[in-house]
Amino acid sequence: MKEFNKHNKKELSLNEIKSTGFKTPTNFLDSVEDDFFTKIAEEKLPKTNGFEVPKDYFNSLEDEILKKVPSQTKVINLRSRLKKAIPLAAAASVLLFIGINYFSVQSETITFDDISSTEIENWLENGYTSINTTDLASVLDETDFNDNELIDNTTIEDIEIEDYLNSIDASSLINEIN
Amino acid sequence: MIAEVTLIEQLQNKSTKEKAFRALMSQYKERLYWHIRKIVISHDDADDVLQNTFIKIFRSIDNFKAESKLFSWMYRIATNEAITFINKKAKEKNIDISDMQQQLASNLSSDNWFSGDEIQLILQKAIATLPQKQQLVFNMKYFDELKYDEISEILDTSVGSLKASYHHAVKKIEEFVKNYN
Repeated sequence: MKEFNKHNKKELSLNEIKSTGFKTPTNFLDSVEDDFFTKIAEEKLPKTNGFEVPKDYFNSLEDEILKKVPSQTKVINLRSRLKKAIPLAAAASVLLFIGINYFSVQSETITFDDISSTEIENWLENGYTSINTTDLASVLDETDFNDNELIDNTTIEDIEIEDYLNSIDASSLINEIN
Repeated sequence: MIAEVTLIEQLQNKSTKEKAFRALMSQYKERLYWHIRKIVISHDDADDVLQNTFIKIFRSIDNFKAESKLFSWMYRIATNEAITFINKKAKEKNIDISDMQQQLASNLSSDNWFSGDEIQLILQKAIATLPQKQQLVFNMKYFDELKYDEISEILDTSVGSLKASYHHAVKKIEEFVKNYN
């Protein structure tokens, strides 16, 4: 045997092979027992969980969800202009409120003083001031965004401010802060 | 089915986003629904959470960097939305999340959208007693039949750890079922 190997060094004798060369993943053999007992336990469990869905539930999902996602159109320039219009919108909606009250109670002239703060609060709370920006865009034009106009028309004397502050019921202010 | 790379490109392009998003929903809505349903139990709640999940996906898809598969990323969002949902519900009732889940499981017998028999009901009660992670691993492996590699990417946990979780979960369920009644 030895003489044979001297001339043919690549030839291996069975006596020289010590390992197969096969490998297993790390910890594979450790988990064999766990895997086995788990499989046995699994077989005793039901295969389905018993949950059901209403018929056609999945059919209408895409449409429903697409209604709720933000739209893709860009309206950047208009949006920043409209933001400036919000104080005007607030004022406009209050005036509208007064106007409606005026027309419904024809015998009296209604002014701001006649509207109780509770009524205004209710008006604001009920969302009557939420105005769709597209609607707003259709009624406002360039001149409405003229800042100078706003400044010129609202000169308030200090004495007028003091009188106003003195006339407010302090408790309603405290309630607002809280 | 569109190749994932193409689908992502279409989702991140404003002109094709809506159409691609429809295709995405069509492909994944059922899998995501059932994953969520197993966590929140009620169909109505699952519907709410699924819709919120897709809305979140729609909003965040532009930032998706394909560091994981799209499916794993969506599944992860669904998982977080569902768990946040039941956490909130538990907080409102001033109870522990585990108590919340066990309560939900107990109420299944009177649920219109549960048609399970007694053993299926007991199984749900058993699952509800497990720690949150074990519940997720059990449901994903046993009912969703996901591979450990897939679960690993979704839950960001090693395969070894997942296997251990799964073995523990099955063992506890077996004990619970055996001791029931």
